[in-house]
Amino acid sequence: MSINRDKFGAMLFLCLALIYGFYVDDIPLLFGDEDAPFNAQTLPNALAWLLGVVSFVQLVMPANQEAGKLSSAFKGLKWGRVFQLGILMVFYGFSIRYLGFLISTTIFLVGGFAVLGERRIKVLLGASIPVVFIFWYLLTQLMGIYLAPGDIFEMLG
Amino acid sequence: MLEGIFSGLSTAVMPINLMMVALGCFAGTFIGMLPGLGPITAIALMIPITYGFDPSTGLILMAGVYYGAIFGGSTSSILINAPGVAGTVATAFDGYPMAQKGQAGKALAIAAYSSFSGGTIAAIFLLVAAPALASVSLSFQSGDYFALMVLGLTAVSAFAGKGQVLKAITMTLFGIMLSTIGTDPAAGVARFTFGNMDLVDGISFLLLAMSTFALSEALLSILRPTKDTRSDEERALKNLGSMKLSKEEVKTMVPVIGRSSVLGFFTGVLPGAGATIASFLAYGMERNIASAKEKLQFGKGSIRGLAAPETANNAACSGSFVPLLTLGIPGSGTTAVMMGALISYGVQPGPRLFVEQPEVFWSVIISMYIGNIVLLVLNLPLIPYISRLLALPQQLLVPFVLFFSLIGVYLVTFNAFDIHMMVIAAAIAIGLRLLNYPMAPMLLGFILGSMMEENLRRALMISDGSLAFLWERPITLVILLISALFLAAPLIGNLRLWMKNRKSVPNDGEI
Repeated sequence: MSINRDKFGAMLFLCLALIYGFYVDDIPLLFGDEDAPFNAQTLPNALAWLLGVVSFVQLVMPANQEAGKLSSAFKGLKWGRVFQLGILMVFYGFSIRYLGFLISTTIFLVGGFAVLGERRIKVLLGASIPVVFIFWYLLTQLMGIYLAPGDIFEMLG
Repeated sequence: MLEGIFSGLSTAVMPINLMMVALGCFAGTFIGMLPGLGPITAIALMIPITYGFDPSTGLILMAGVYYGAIFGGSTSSILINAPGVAGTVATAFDGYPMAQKGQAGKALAIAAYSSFSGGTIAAIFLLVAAPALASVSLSFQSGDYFALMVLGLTAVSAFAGKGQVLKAITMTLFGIMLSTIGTDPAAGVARFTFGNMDLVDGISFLLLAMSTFALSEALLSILRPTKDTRSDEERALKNLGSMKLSKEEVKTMVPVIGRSSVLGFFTGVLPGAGATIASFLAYGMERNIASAKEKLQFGKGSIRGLAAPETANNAACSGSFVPLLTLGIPGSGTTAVMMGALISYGVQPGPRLFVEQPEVFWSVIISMYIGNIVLLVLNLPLIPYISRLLALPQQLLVPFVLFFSLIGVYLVTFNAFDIHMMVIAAAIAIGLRLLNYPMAPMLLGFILGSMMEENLRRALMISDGSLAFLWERPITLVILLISALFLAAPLIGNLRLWMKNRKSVPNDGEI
């Protein structure tokens, strides 16, 4: 038995509705708000119910054959490169504070080009360094945005 | 009103704003021609650039990008039968056969003249309709606004297409759910932050738009590599042929443009319907009213078949600004992104905009007209040059799109958490896209969610907790009935189809 793509999606959203609904009770209410016609929990409660009902309806309705099977939706995808780009983006998020805009962005762009198959050093550096410097100049000199140097430079004095 | 128009005109023709329209059209055309990237991505990428500008300039740039992206999509449709934007799918029906006959230049010229005329006529309609609707909407109350937002959200779901209605509703609800994360503006209590201080302010609209469109579209182009069509496009551009139109051809186009402009504009005004539906409706209408002899030409390079969708999609783009500017309710994903940008500039779209900031209101309308002129005068002759930018290989293009998306969001808050949040949001968006869930309803739900809650809260407080505000005023009731109709029509259709299938096809065990 294989699962239909739409049914799988509906199942995910039904779970989301249940989890979301579970955490609605964690929303603190101000004193006296419990009996107010509208409080901080009203909309989230309604949303949890609505999403639950909609995804349940989709789950019990007959499968839409055009949607195909779940496995076919994920077949033949090139996950490797996307995964590497994802790691690179996470690293960029960590490094931008410590290494500063110039170094971290250059590393990110060079890394991105390399992940996607560019191996020529001239292109790797030629397409990243000038762009990073032009962008940095635009931001700091023309638009007046302050970009702090990386923490590492402050640590080094 | 005249004073407002002149004030808008003087703002729109300022050198910086003229430059922004031209730049926007140029950038939009380039991004629209790229496979996989649409107008929402194009506009989202422009938002961080516009932060330093005043609201009129920023909006003018984005309106230019919107038109440019639609025109860029038409170019790929005509040249290589690969529409970059859903709104230009119908353009390929007759545009591509014309290009195959060696009349690509003529097809591009017809598309440009039709877009220009459609956009111009619609801009005139907008000039009349927007202030009228804005004045009427000044009398709207919280309950009416709540009903209007429900209408906007249900219409987006209703127009989602066959088999997609429930998914669109799901995504709309998901978007509203995301808008509840953060501090509740009325009570000041944290909701769904799980103790994380970075979530106290909620999720930023720009972050969500960038990650679900720009980031996920760029990553999907790597994940699901499609045929790189840019070399085909370049080849097609080398054999453009003449761009001149004969008198006969112009005569054929004129009535088509008139009809399709009206149809396109009013379709665009409807929340949820947009350039895509307008272009298909116009194409269908032209084919239906054509003589038997002309009908045979449709799909084989008919001028009418090309002019109709091109006129209608541009007219619909202008039409979609009516609910945004007058009611503060975006009718499409693209206008939702624009609304997000406006709010981030500190401008609240809606009926008060017309009264309080007429220069923003009118300059946007007038810049649409200027945008159409720029498309015709600059973009059409420059198409071969713009296409040279497409020679940028994908391994360089994708990291640049990722970088611009990430840094655009980072520069607003200087918080690295946002970059990590974007990666997570993009991963979820990719998963949902693979499961065939539409992203635009989510964005619309997100942007309307907090406004809807605020209006519902106010309406309930005023009516002392009674739901009577939903039917006490005729206008609220009518809007809600229309919403119910929008929602019920596709669901009833689905149910009937299910009942029919149930009788004829046995269940094959799939869940």
